[in-house]
Amino acid sequence: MIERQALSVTQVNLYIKEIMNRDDVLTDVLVKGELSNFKAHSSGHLYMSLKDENGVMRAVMFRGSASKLRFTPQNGMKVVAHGRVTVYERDGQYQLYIDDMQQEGIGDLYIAFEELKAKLSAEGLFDPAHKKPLPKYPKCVGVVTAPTGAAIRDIINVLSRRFSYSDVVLYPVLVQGENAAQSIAQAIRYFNQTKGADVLIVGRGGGSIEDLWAFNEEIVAREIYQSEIPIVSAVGHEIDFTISDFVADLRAPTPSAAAELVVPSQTELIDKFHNVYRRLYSQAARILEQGRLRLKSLSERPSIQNPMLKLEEERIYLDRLVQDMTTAADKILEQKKQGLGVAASKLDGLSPLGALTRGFSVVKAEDGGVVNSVSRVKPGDNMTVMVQDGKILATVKETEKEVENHGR
Amino acid sequence: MADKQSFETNLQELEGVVKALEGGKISLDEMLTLFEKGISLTKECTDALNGAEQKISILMKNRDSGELEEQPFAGFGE
Repeated sequence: MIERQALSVTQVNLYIKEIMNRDDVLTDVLVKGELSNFKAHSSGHLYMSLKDENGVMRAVMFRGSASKLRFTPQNGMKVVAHGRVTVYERDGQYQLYIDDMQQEGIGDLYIAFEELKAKLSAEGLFDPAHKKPLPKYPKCVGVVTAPTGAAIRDIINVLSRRFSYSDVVLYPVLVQGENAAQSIAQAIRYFNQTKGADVLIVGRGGGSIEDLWAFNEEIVAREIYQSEIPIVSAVGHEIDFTISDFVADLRAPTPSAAAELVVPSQTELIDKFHNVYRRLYSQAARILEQGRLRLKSLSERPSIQNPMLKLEEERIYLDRLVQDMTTAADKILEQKKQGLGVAASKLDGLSPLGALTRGFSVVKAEDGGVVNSVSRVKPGDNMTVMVQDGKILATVKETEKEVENHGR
Repeated sequence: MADKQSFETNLQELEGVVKALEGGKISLDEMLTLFEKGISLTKECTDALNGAEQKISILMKNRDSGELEEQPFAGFGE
């Protein structure tokens, strides 16, 4: 005892809560008793006690569940409540958390309902994987309901207004009373045997839980489950849930909602066709325009537009070549010319004529020969003396041969 | 039932045509063929809807044979 560690209050409460939360009975329990200490809080939550001759238990019903109650609870009322029992840790008290509640009497049906629901659910009748998709455009809608009353009137009104493409076949059935379930099951079977519809609406208008009871019967549930034709259930009002709703391929909150669900809106469809029509046109126009643009851009290519252009280009190129060639040749000629000038001036310096400018002269004999020796002329001969700017005529007076001093 | 088949088939085909056209990667010839087809499918679908006359019937037991047979639904009995 001394060795043991003490637990905190919170730990103990939590421990108890965990035990209770794992318990199959406490987590899904139907409790019958008399209401006392009933208080509707402004938050929408309901607080109360359930009691019988020997005991009392605290209970709470939260706003979400409380808003679906079909009666106004009062102290002293005998009720059957469904929910789970667990610990409210802060107070260290267990209480019943109610998610659904019926007045007793009605409570018996309620117990039967919960039992069948649990059984069929365990068998997999509510399995979403088993649910069949509805046909998009049913040629024939089968209706299983009473031939009189609001339900069939609403269904036919909606089907006529919404989608005249669908035919409607009503299998009139009893929707309440002893033979109702049998009659409903038989109708579902008939449509399946004759393949007389593409989709079925099974339901009835609103009523008390007893009125709706046929749709909570096992025979109806099983027939719905076995149906090869998809079934939309439409029982009572939005707040009414029946076993049929859980088994059906789709639950509609009301009969007219069921009719809305099984057929598309013809107006919307026709709008859709108009839309498709427009899209077809605009797509075709787009593709044509693309083709036209391609053609245009091709036809605007220079090679198509002016086939001679290539030749022109060649010609221009040729012209340019000739031009370049001429320029180059001219340049070479110019260079040569300049070279020639230089050479000529050099040559000029070497010419005897050039010497004339420097003061020398050339003497020519009468016969035109150059007088390069005294022996070439004799006194009295005429000579021509060539100077830079002209000629001088002269006559030889005398000649004198210079003696060479080195002799031969 | 045959009508219904063709209505749904037509509708599916039409959706395919529009998709192909919107894909755009088709020749002009193909486009013209698709376009023609699309227009005629649209017309058929619209005509099927517009021309549909809803038949509302009730299943009644034949007095002689005891078999159920469809009869025009007269009204809501109110």
